[in-house]
Amino acid sequence: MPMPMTKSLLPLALGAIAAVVLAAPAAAQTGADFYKGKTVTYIVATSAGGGYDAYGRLVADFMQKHLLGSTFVVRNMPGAGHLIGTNAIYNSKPDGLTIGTFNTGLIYNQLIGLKGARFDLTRMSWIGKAASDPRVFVIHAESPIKSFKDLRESRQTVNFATSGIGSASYVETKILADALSLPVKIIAGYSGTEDMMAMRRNEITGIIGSRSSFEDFVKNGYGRLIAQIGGGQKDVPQLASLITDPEGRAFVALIQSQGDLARLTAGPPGIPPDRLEALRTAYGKAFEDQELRARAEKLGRPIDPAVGEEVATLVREALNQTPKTVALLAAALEAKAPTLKASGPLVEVQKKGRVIVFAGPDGKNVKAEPSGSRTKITIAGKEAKRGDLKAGMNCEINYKPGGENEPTTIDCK
Amino acid sequence: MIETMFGTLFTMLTTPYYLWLMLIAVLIGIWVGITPGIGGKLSIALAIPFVFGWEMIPGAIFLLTMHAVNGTSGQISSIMFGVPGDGDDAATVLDGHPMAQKGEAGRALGASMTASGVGGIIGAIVFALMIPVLEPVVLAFSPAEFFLLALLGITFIAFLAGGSGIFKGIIVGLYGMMLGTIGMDPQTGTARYSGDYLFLWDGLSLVTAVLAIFAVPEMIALGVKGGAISAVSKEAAKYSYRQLFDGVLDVPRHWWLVIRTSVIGAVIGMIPGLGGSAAAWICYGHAVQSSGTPERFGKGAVEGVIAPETASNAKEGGSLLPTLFFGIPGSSGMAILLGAFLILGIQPGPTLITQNLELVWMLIWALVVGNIMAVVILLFFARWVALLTFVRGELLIPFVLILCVVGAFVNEAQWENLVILVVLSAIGYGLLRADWPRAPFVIGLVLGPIAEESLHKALALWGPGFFLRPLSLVLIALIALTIGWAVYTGRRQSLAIGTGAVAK
Repeated sequence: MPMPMTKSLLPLALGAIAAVVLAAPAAAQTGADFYKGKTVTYIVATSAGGGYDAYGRLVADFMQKHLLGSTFVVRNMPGAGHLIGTNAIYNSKPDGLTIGTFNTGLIYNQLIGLKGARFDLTRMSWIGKAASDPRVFVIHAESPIKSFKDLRESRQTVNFATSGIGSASYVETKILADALSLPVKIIAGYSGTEDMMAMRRNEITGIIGSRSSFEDFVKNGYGRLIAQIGGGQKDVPQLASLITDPEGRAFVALIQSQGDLARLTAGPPGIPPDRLEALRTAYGKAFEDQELRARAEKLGRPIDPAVGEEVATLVREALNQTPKTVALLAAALEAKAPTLKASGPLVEVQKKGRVIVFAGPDGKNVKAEPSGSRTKITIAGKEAKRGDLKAGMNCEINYKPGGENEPTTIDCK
Repeated sequence: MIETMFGTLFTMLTTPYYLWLMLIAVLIGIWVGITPGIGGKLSIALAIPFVFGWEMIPGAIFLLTMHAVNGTSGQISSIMFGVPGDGDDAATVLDGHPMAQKGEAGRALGASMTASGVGGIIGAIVFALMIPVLEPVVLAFSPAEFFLLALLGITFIAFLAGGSGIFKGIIVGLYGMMLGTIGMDPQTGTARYSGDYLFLWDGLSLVTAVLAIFAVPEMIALGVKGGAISAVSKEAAKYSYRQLFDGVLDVPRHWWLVIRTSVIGAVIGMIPGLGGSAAAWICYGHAVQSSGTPERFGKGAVEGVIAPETASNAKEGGSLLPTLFFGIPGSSGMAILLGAFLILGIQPGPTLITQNLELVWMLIWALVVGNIMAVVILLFFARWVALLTFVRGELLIPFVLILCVVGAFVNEAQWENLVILVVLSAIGYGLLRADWPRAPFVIGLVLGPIAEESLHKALALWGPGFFLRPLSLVLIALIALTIGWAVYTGRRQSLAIGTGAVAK
């Protein structure tokens, strides 16, 4: 099984760990010592069986082996599309004794502020990721659509299956269809492998799914792959090479970052640094273990690990999207865009406060149109009108990104 | 083909290693089935590390046997205490537990175990017969047919309520369907009746609902009334092995029903997407609807035990078909089994039948032999198990209530389910006291969401004309016949009661 990224990432990560261990031998010592005779709960945010459970049990088994004296217990906490398990991990005591795994797709939930998420992924203690899971466009074997170009130029709308609305599979299909203006009609609500059955029945023509899930399906001659996002395989063209418009590329990059970060392991924010280091070291050693690799291969679970800070950086990068991407994402999902916060001086005030310009959170100037009725304006703690705003005032502004960038509140000193 | 067929059976029966493995698998499967909260899925997930490095055939028959006999022992607590182990056993509670209350626990156990075994064997036969026609049959069922099948199941409510109680039945059934809408709606992305409670997003737990509507009210009623579960004493019930064998003989006595429900169960198991619990409920409804005396159901009719039990074991054979030959699992349990098969080096797909016919027959025979083993072992112990129904209630009630709490909690490991258990138990007890039917509630809860989701998909795919497909039209005709039959028998009954009153 080719694992091109492994070769490049793992030594780097291990090197980083080695550096830390060498620099602070005493700290690492206490971190690893702490786990002697301790029980670590490893939360899997799905029920037993299935991919997350398989990777979770694999990681737990081998972290136990490489964290001497520790006992790892796997606990399944399914429900609400990984939210219950993730909330439990995030809100557990940060003593390094509770960690777990969940769907990377929750990055979308956080980006557009979907309901039910009680976590901030940027603050979590990232331990590692086990695999990369490139996405593919799967098309029914007997469909006349034989390439991505055919799909784009199809005169008839093409049915695509996804899981329920709000799921990662729906989000990805919807934003790609919208951003690349594909003639796609989404039929939502196919859970598990029902989408494959639906394609066998020829009621749906396409699926955007993870490559590893469809490998056998394609091998059996039921479907063909016409485009891929991420991954090192050369047999399917990369979607990024097939499109030109920058907006579409931004989304493809976002989805690719999800794919690169599959099968994560993380703990709550604030795990003491020495214990986190011990966990990361054990994670790194686990994936160096030939026995783990052999077992993963037998399970048919490809691995492509990365450890520690590297994963944390990837997560932060995935969450650092331009307000425009976020707004488009929210619009595609008909969700309410979250408000953005900016603070600093008003650069310009035009038309008696009907138009204001200020520096957005990314440092670029934002032109916004405050509403006379909806925008709440206070100046020095007192209620005020938009006509009272003046350039140079130091203000804190909450606004809805996109279109008129209408501020919800403007609070000036 | 024939040579491989009997050759593999001969190999299986003459290899002590295989027989020992299957015996161990059967014992584990029985134990997992009896213990509330540990479903067949979890047992396979936990067994996966143990089968690493095993050879293909012994590993596969071990796992399959373990999974297949789960349902054979699961109904013991359904019958004895009204406590189902999982959703599949829930339908057996309806008539199994009333039989125990009539002092016929032995007969109910004998009938259900034999029915499970026979269902499993017929399921294996259906498996073998369907291989050549698998593709056209499985692919004929689309969301349009799922919707109509669920609707057909729902119309059985009319018979479950029986005669004058039909409006009560409809009200309770609609209430079940309403609670079935709780959760995240996959078609709109809206959380319905869930507020900010994430545990409600996946809907009401079926096991918790069944425990609350059936088991807990029965225990409260038993506590209020005093005495034992069985209303008649051990002596009056003439409890003996003979009663157990009477139950065993009930299965051949209803052989035609057994064949029909086994085949229906196996076919439903074959179609991914309809879910295992639906098989037991649709077959229970079918038994009621096809019975000449539907009013006996819910009060301890042995057919009400036979039908769901044959269906739930037969569906295992059925759901193995798409798993092995399409590589697409027919149920969540099969999805895990599929993962385990991959580890053993079995490559599911259409070529399996040509490349590894021996394995396919081994699996079919494992279903047959494993089911027979499980029935023999369980029948041997059933005699003593059934005696529990004659134990004084005060000794039993705390134990059963603990089982209920454990069952409600362990299934999803969420304490909030205990709150649901208490709230729904109050409703369940109210229904019991007011003598309203309770089965329609669970049918509404199981089939309502399937009907809604499939209708959504069918409309999105084909628009309002989605039912203009041959199989859909057949199902529509069946639904119309069912309703017509219900109205006809209802009128005949009320006429009979009317003339009876005049005669007096």
